[in-house]
Amino acid sequence: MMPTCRDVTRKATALDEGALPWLERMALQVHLLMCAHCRRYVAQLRLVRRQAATLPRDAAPGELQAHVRDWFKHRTP
Amino acid sequence: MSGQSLDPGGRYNGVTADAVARHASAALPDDATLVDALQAGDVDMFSAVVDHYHRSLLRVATTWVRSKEAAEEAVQDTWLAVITGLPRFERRASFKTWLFRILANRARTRAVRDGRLVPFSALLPEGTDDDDGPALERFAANGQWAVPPSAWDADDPEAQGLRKEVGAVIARAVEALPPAQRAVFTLRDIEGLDAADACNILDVSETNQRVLLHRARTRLRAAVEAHRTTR
Ligand SMILES: [Zn+2]
Repeated sequence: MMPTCRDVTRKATALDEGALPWLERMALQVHLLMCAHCRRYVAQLRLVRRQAATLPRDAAPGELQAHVRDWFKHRTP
Repeated sequence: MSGQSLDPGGRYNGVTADAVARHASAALPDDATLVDALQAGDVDMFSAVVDHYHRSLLRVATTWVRSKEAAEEAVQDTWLAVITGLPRFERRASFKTWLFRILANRARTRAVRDGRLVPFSALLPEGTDDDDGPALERFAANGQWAVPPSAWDADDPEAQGLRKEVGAVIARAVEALPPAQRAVFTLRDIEGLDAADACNILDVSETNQRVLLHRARTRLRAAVEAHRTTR
């Protein structure tokens, strides 16, 4: 049973996570080879994932920093 | 409170907000270097770690406690537990796995004490088909795309600007995710923990974890798409 485009969008994470049985995985990969729209969709999900890993980090509030630095200094020999 | 006197000559003494912000976004060293420094009492490294994980810790804490104040207290409890536990930390897990385990533990404890524990299982959504991918209307009856995804992906000629834009949309949209999706997405995609560690920290099955991750990525992708079509 060949997966539809709709199936691909529903199973993209399971595919990336290696959570699908061999036959289903092969069928999805064949679909992706043939379908540019689904390739784009899956690429966009992966782009979201990649960008999440590089989100800028805000500083913690100064008050929290002051507390934890104080604790840290008093507990480290 | 006088933050200045706590740290003579250190980063809170005459350091500009801008410099502190830069400090926060700097990548942390590898785990061995990091833990060596912390165990040796490097307080500036500790500050960098506190900055680095602050937002993610808050986000995951709100899985079990509902108020911002309770989450902030859970994060504070976590750092105290980290400081106390550091000398005995044996590096069997990565530092960040250990950190988020402590956070989960502290947040649950606090929620129980306040009589406000939200069990993670209660956050598992029933979910509809629309949570798992683009709405049904975007597909023809045979399951093929009727309204295919708009063109933005890594092949885009404006890729650099695109990545920045995607990052900005995600940073906003992640806060609006349902709590369980937000927690899984934070641990897996923002912090880069593996599935087994995320399941362990959140006390959720591997299947549910994967469903939540998929729904989170699906929503965030849709947020970027919406942003790019309405700008
Ligand atoms: Zn397709």
